[in-house]
Amino acid sequence: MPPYIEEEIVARLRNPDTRRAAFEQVVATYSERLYWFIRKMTLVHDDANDVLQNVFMKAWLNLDGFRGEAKVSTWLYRIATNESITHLNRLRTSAQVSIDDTDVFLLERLSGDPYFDGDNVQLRLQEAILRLPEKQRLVFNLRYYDEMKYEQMSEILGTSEGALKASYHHAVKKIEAFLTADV
Amino acid sequence: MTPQQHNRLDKLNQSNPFKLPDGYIDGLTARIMDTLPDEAPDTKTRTLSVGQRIRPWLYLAAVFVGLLLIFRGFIFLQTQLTGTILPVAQQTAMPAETDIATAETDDDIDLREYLEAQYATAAYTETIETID
Repeated sequence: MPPYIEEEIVARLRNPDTRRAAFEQVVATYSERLYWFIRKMTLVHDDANDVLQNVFMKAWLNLDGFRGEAKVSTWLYRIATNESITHLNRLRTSAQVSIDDTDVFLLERLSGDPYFDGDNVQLRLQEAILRLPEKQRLVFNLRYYDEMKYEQMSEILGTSEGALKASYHHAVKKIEAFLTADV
Repeated sequence: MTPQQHNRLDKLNQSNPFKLPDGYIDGLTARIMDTLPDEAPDTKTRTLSVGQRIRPWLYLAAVFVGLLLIFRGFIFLQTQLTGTILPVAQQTAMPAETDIATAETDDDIDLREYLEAQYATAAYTETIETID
């Protein structure tokens, strides 16, 4: 596979003759990273797998709408964010769970997932993260797990870098307080 | 973030409790590409359904209906407040002949036509007598 060069990939994506091969290169480059981002949001492997498939399907079907103004990764992360949130909302609705009980609901799903191998401390960390508001949870995951720069995060989430930094700082404080409570 | 907080969270990130089925990542690209249709749809040549074509006209019609209802509502309110939609000058004027005509019943029309005919005959007779 040729090396991944952003401008070249975008040009090849616009050409119907080279589109599919270019898209396959995009999938190969970003699928694993996107999987882990989605997994941290949905927590369960099967859900993350389904959402990941949906993300690339949506990207493929809306390729004409990608104008190359943002980076391919930014565009994909935006789709992944929306698809993850949509999936979680659908889960919550079908299980008739209120927004206030979402953290408990998702924690139960995580506890029952055969592909979660965490000890009590890791489970407690996930519980702390689940208690964050949805957008703050996104910010925390992108910074803590993906080590994403605030500049790119700002493009994905449509929020200023200053607000994102503040949000992450507050998220860390909340998580620390939760982890050290009753200790 | 304090150094202690950074260390604590940093340590938790060193181990990944989320596991994968064996070989999941290895075949991931191929599995994703297999699910995609052969050709990405060309949005430029997408055909519109009948509903999509009609919808803008329906919206336009709804706007006109809404404006008409607002106008009629305004007239209704004005009628309620003034008792008539006619300006004051017109309220004191004599009713037009057409108003009288449209207010007649069939019997009134027959009577009027009979009287007109009698008058016409009488006027003709007078004229004849005058000439003679």
